[in-house]
Amino acid sequence: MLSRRQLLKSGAYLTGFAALNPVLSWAVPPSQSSDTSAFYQLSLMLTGRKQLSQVITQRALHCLSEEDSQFPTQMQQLSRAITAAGITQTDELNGHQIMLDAATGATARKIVSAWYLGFTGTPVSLRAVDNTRFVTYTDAMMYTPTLDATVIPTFSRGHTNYWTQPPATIKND
Amino acid sequence: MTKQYDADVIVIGSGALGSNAAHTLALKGRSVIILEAGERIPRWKIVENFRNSSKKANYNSPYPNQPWAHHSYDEQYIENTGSFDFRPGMLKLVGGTTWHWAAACWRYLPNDMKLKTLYGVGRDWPMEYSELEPFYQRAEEALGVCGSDTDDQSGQAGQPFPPRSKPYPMEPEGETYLFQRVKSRISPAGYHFIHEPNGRATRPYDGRPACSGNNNCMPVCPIGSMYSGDKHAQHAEDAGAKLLTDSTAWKLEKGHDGKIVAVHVRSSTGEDTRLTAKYFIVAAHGLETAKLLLISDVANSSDQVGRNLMDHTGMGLQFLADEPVWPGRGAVQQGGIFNYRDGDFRKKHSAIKHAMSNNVPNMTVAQRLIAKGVIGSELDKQIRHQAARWVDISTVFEILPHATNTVRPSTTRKDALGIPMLTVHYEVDDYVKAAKGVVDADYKKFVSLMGGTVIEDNTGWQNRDHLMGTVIMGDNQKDSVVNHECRTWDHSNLFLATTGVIPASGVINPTLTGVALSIRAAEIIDKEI
Repeated sequence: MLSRRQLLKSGAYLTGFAALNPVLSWAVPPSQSSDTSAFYQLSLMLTGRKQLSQVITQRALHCLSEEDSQFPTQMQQLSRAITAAGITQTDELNGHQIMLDAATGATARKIVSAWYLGFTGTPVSLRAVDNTRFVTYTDAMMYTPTLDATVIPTFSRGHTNYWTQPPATIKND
Repeated sequence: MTKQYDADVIVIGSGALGSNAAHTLALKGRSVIILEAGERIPRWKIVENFRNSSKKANYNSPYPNQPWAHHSYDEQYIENTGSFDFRPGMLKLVGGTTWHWAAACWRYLPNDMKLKTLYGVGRDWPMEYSELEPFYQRAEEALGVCGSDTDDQSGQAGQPFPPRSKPYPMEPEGETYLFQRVKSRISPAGYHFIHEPNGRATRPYDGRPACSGNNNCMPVCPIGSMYSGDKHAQHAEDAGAKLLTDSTAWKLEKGHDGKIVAVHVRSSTGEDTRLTAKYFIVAAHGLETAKLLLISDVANSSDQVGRNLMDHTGMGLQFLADEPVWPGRGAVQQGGIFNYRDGDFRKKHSAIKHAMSNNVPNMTVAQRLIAKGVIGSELDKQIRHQAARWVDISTVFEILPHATNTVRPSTTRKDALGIPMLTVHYEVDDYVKAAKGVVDADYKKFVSLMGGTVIEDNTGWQNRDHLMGTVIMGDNQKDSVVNHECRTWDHSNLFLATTGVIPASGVINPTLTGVALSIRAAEIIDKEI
């Protein structure tokens, strides 16, 4: 699915980035860079984006792999299924057998969740410990569709009582 | 010979109730020590903890959970022996649990205090509403409450009620578009919508900025517009009180004259200190207060310490309206429907409050859609469509005090200081269950009136984090722990500043009442010292 050129480009970029950022010391080692690149390409496909943050890419892959050591294998299975089905656009996956299949569907949902919700794992309410891992907050894609109408919590673009009026888009919402 | 004390008054707990009591006494020139088991953490740090948390829906997540000062979601902290998983979101740090409340500041109704007399169930308060009214006013001024001076808070659509001696300290905030739309469509069917008085600034107040709709009251207001107990912990210090963090009170020591003579304190490194005072106030929330009394074998001649545990056990419903109502603009809650707050029905079933949540709903909406396999542009489209139409009703029930609903020191689990943790036994009674049918019928009507589609029917019993009854107040020392002053019957210099004293729960959030009672108790102590 990946060309050798893409693989090398991605691996070189990430290696250099990690060297400059101690925070990313746990980033994917060079020997696994194919996973990083594959995950990046898969994420582009599953989120319908043309470009994604490399930092969040690495973090999401790291979290998903920590949660389940089989994740890289599952990811490759999903990639192969998408390639085999000839899918080139995200929207083609809606209702597709790949999403309905227990294995590939679960892997796809995990990746989409990481990007949209900004965490991996399953929250357990009213308990201090669960298997969730932080991926991102303000870049969580679930906020993008409503950013003109509501805030990302803790941030505000308003002032007291702005909320008495609906968003400007209300007639078309 | 003059006896020497470490302080005039020692307050155990730095939450909203303890800190307001401490502040009241410090202002009078009394020497006050406040003991806090947890740490002092600046607001910015908690905000960053929240933003970096993977558990955004877990309100305890941004707060410390230390082996010597657990927050209540720690698996070891509370063991439940009843059928209900009783697990309120309590915190241990300077300022206490009001760091992550939504700041509802209701007054009880006069009738809430006469439940037994009027309706033949539960218990009466050992005081009249009029006795507490001046302290309600002081509590509202301390907490900076904004509220409506025109609403009938009894839900009967009458004149402004309950009676007040002064207007609210601040004007209410403007109604959210969500509130306007739901009110407009549901109230013609006879439902009474009422503004929720809340400790949220609508103009600069006591160093707090006016709310700008960050929509994160729970788990932390990023700008400190919403009141939290750290405000009065600081005010108390500024007035001369000494605040000791990392100081867990683990035992009250009795003297020969029936008075409490000392409190034993342990630090996280195991260092023990014995502190003496003329008066003691235990303000360690409804579970820990009872635990400390039981461990110390004090105040329990009635055998009622740790019994009568109440929460406003609740239910919930989420549905999609047939029009965009746009929740998530403004604070996370604003008011609700109060048709069943008071009336003859209380002879048969509990009172009921329906509130509307106003959280940005994207996470819940997106989680649900992704689980269904929605992906691509359809996912983005559906997130916007559903987030715009999300209606979240949160209901609470009036709970009666039962001696069989208990909190006890654990006999099997201890924290890092060797102090027992908690065991809770809690069951929901038939008085509450009898009201479930009313709520189910209301839910059907709400959905119908809003042209709605039900998403989640959370009609199993839920925690609401309103601890009451565990050190119950009464006028008979044989069946209660404290009298109307919040003074323990057994020890004349031991007062309790906790919502645990509340003997009849009504359906309103009890914090304001707890603060009013605590300020009143502090005034009583000041007069006696």
